[in-house]
Amino acid sequence: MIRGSGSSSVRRMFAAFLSAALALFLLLSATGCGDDSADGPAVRLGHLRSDLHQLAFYVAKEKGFFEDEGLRVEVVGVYASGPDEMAAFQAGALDAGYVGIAPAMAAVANGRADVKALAQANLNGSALVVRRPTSIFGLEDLPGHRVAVPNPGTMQDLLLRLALASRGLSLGDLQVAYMAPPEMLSAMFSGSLDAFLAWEPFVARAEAEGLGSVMLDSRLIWEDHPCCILAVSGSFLKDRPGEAAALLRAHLKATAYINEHPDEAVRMAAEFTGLSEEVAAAAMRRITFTGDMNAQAVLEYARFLAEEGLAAIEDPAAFVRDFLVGQ
Amino acid sequence: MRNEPELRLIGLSKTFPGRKGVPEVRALEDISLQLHRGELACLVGPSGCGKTTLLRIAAGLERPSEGKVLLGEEEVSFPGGQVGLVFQQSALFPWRTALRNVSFGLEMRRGRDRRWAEEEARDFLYTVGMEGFERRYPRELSGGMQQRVAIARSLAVRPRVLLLDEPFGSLDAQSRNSLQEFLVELWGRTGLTMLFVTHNVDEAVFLGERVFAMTPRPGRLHRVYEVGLGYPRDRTSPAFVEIRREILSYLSQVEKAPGGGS
Amino acid sequence: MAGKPFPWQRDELHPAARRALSVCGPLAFLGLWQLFGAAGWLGATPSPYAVARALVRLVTHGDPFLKKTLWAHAGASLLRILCGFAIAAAAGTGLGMLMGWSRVARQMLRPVVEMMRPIPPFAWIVLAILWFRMGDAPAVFIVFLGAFFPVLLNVASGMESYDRVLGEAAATLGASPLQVLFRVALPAALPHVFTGLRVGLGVAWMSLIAAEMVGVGGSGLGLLIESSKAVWDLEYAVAGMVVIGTVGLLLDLAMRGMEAHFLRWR
Repeated sequence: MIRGSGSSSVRRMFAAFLSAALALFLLLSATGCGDDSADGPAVRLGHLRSDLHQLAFYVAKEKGFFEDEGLRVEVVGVYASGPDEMAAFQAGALDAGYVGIAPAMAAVANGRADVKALAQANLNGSALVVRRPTSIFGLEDLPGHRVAVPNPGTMQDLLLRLALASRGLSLGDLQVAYMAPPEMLSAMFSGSLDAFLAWEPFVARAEAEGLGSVMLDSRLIWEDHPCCILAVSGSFLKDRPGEAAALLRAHLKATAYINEHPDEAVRMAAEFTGLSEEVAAAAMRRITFTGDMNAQAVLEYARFLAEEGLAAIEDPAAFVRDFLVGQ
Repeated sequence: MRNEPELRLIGLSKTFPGRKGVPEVRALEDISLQLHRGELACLVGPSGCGKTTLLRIAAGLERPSEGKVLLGEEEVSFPGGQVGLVFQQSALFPWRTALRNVSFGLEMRRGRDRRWAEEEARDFLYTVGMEGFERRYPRELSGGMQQRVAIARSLAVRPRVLLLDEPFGSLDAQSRNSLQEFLVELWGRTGLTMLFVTHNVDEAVFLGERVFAMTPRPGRLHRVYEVGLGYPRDRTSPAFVEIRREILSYLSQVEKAPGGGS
Repeated sequence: MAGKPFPWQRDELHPAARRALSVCGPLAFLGLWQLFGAAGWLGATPSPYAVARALVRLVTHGDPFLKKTLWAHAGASLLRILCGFAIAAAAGTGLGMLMGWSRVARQMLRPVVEMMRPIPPFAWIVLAILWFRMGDAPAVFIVFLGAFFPVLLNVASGMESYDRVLGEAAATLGASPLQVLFRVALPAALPHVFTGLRVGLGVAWMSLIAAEMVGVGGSGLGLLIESSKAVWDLEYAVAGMVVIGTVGLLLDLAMRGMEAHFLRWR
C-alpha cells in the first residue's frame, strides 16, 4: 500500500461519521415506514451511461427494489459525463442521481449546486494501465512517457499525483494528456499512449483486448478511495425525506445483492453495460460495491481540491460535513 | 491582294443532338462563305437563325457536323489567337483592369512577361480611344466602353480575322451609333478582316462592304448584297435607304414563308 | 427629419450612430446578463464580472487546473486551427477545382463528399487517434475535416457556375485549357472560394473542442473549457468561450479584409 491511510484520530473520526450516517439511516427508515408516496411525483433520477460503478442502480431497477420501497423512480437522464449530470442537477431537473464524487463535489463547491451525497455507490475501481508490450515496470519508469488521465481535478488525476508523489515524482515529469477513457483505448491501440489511469470497465477492456495490462490497481494507491455516489438534491432531501430514505434503502439492498450474488451481478453488469461477462467480471474484481461513505477519504479529496485551487473550499471539514447526508 | 480569301467557311452544317424529351436541332444547313482579306462584312438575320453558332464554329469554339473552316490554307478546329471573337456581352474578365484585360492574351502567349504585355496593351487601349481608363475595372465602365476594351483585347493578340457577335446589341441608340462610327474608323486604320454579325439591318448596311443575309431553322445563307457605298455612310441617303429596304423586305418575306426563300 | 414614407426606406445611419449602436448592443447584452445573474435567474451561469475576473487571472496567473496562461491556451489552439485550416484550404481548393472542372471527378467524388460532410467532428475523434496517434496531429486532422468540406464544396460550385463565356473568350485569345483553368476559372470562382474559406474557418473553430479531446498536451482553449467543466469552474469555461469567440471574430475580420482586397473588382 502506498498511502498510509490513517492515524487513530482519523479512524475515530471515520467511526463517528459512520455511526452518524447509520443513525440517520435508521431515523429516516423509521419515518419512511408507511409513507406511501406512490401517488406523488416520481423521483427523477439520472445516471451515467453504461457505468459499471453504478451497477446498483440497474440491479435496484431490475429487481424492483425501488417499487418494494414504494418508490416511483423515473430515469429522466442518462448522461455521458459527470459534469453533464451535475448541470442537470443545477437546472433542477434531477432529484437523485448516480454520479462520480469528483464532479459532484466540484459542482457543489464551485457551482454552489444544492446537492448532497446520500450514499456511496462504490469504492476503488480504477487502475493504472500500461501499454503491452511495455518498458514501464514501475512508477519510476513513468517519467518522460505519455500518460493520460480524464481531466484535471478528477479522482484519477489525484490518484496519479498520489502515486507519483510516493516516488518523489510529479505530473511535470510525465507528458500528461487529457482525454476521455474511450479515447484512451484507441490512443493505446495506435501505439501513441504509454499508460493511462482510468476507471472500469476501461481497465478491463484494455486488458481483454490485449492493449495493455494493469500496473497498479487504484486501491494500492489509495485504499478504498471514493468513486461513484448516489447524490440527491438538497430540496428533494428536505421536502421528501421519506422518499430519500426509501431510495437509500433500495440502493443499499441492491448493493448487498451485488455482493451476495456475484454471478448474477456479473450477468446483470453485462446486460447494463454491454460488456462481455468475462470483461465485466474482471472489472468488478477491482470495484468495491458499498453504500458506506468513507467520510475521511472524502475529506482528503476535498483538501486536495482546495489545495490545488481546483475548488473554492475554504473549510474542507465543514464542506464535507455539509456535503455528506447525516453529518 | 484585296480579293484573296482570308477565311473560308465551306459547307458548314450543325446539328445539336437531341436528348430525352428534346428533339435534335438542325441549326445550320450547308453554309459556305468567304471573307476577303481586309474586308468588313456583315451577316444579318433574325434572332435564332444560327448566326452565333456560325461564329462559334468559325472561331473554333464549336465543331461543325459537316464542312470545315479554313483560315488561309489551315483548318480551324480549336480556338487560338488566330481568329478573334468579340462577344455580345463584353465577356471582359471582371477581376482584371481594362489594361490587364487587354494584356491577357499576350500574357498567355509570352509566359510571365507581364510588363511587356502591359506596354503593348497600353497601345491598344489608345487605339480604341480608351487611354486614361487603364486601371478601371469592367464594372466601372459603361457598356460601350466595355466593348471598346473587348475589341482592344481581341486586337492585342493580332488575329488574322476578327469576328463580332452583335457587339453593340445591348447598347442604347446613341452609343450604338458612335461605336459603329468608331468601328468603321478602326477598320479604316487597321485594314483588319472582320465579320460583323447583327440582327439589325440598318447596322449591317451602315458597316458592311458586303452583307450576307441568313434565314432561320435551319440557318441557310441565301443572299449576298454588295453595298457599294463609300465610308462614312449617310443613313439618310437614297442609296442607303434603298439597300436597307431591299434587305428588310427579303427578310420579312422569308419570315412569312418559313423554310422557304429558295 | 425628411423621412421616407416606409420604414424600410429609411436613410442610412450616420457613421457615428452606427458605431455607437454596435457598441451599445454588446454593452446591453452584458448588462442584462449581469442583471439577470444578480437576480438569480441564470442559476450557476457565471456573471460577466466573474468571467472578466477569470480572464484577468488567466492572463496573470493561468488557469487553476492546467496551470497555463491565456496566451499558452490561445496560442496552442490558434496553431492547431491555422495548420488544419491551411491544409484544408489548399486541399479543398485543389480538389474543389478538380470537382468543378471535371465531370468524371465530380460524379465520382460528390457522393463521397456529400456523405462525409455532415459527420460531426466529434465522431472522428477515435479514428483521428488511430490514424494520427496523439498530440497535435489528430487535433489538426479534426480541424482540417471541419474546414475542408465547406472549402471544397464552395470552390466546386464556384467552378461549376462560373461564366463559361469567359473561358471561351480566353480560349479565343490563345489561352490553353490549363491557363483557362488557373487564370480564368479560378479567379472567376474567387468569390465562392472566399465564401468557402470563411465558412471553413468558422467551422474550424467549432471543431476545436472535439479536436482537443484527442489527448493534446496540456494547453488549448477547448481543453480549458472541458477541464473547467470537469471541476465546475464555469467562469473559466465561459472565459474560454469568450476567447474563442473573440479570436474567431478577429480571424473572420482578417479574412474579410483579404476578401475585400482580392475581390475589389466586384
